[in-house]
Amino acid sequence: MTLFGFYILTLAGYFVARAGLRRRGGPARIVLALLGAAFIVVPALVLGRGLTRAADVLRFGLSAVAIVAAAHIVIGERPVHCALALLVVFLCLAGIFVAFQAEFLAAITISINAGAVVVTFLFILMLIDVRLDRGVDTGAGWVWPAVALAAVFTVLVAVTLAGARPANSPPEPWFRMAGSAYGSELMNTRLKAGAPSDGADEFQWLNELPPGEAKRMRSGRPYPLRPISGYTRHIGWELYTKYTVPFEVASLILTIAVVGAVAIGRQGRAGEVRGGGL
Amino acid sequence: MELTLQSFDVPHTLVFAALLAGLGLVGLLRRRNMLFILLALELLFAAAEVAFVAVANHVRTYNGQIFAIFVIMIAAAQAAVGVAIIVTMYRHRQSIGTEHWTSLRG
Repeated sequence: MTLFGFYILTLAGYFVARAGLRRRGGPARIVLALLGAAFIVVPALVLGRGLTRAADVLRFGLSAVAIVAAAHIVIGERPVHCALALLVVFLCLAGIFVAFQAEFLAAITISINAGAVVVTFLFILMLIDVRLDRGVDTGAGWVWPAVALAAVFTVLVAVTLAGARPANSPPEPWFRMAGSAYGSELMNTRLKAGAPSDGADEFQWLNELPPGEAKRMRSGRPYPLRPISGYTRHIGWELYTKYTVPFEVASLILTIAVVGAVAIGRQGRAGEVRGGGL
Repeated sequence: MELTLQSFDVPHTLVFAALLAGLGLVGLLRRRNMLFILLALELLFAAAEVAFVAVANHVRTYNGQIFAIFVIMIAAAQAAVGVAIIVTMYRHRQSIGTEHWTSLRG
């Protein structure tokens, strides 16, 4: 709950700084902007002074930045600023993924989400005339659904915090059941290459190396004339063996999406819209 | 209630993901412009990715990361189709504000 309060303070600081920067000038502009920044930085320093690991510090700081950028996406008025805030969110996400030892995911987050998706949004900003969005109120009819949604999310957060378990504890029974229902042995693939696993170990040869060499290979550093063992290699192995069918279906979905996008967006000669179902 | 964090682990990241998803939902419901609605939708997908990766780290498997890859694929496909729909909407009525498209209401 402390963390939740910190995120709320971060949002408050964003609002204060935004109110300051929207003023026309004078000292109040700078004072309010600095006050808003202090709203974010001071609680972050207080809350994060106990963090010792670099990965923890990275996740903590980047999550705060991502929350601020997400708030700007939600209430910002200028479309280009919002698209660039989305870029910031994706870059922070890539950093968090690296801190979670998901390097491949960080790479494709940058190349696909921060690259392609954000560029696509900026591209339509050039194509069409998007006016400033003042976020017109949707009326009283949506107040209660919004409150109910917020309550549901609060309950979810509270349950998450109450049910938090230490990181190395075995997964819940339902998680195992879900895995076996899919037909995969969840516990066979572990994050550490060469770690003892239940079934046949594909990386058994790692354990037969001299101790120093095996350690160097597990750390993922370049090693001459031997395959590099790393997380990306494991993900590729999983993706092309266990998850081949979902992977192919996803590629089919991407193809359909591209064809559909071209079919919808195509324009006829005289300006009439062909193919569009709208 | 302690005022310092000892670590920033999976539950903390899930709180972050929940807040990100909440912000995305607020944007989805509050915006009156199709472009911003799509941006908020991307936020929702991003929150799902973070949650998948965090839980994958928690249970020490790769399955969550692979599902995050699929989420990224679906998000890319959704962005492509959504952008095409927005351009077509703009050609029809010179506006992508939802207040001009209330005839689509079911």
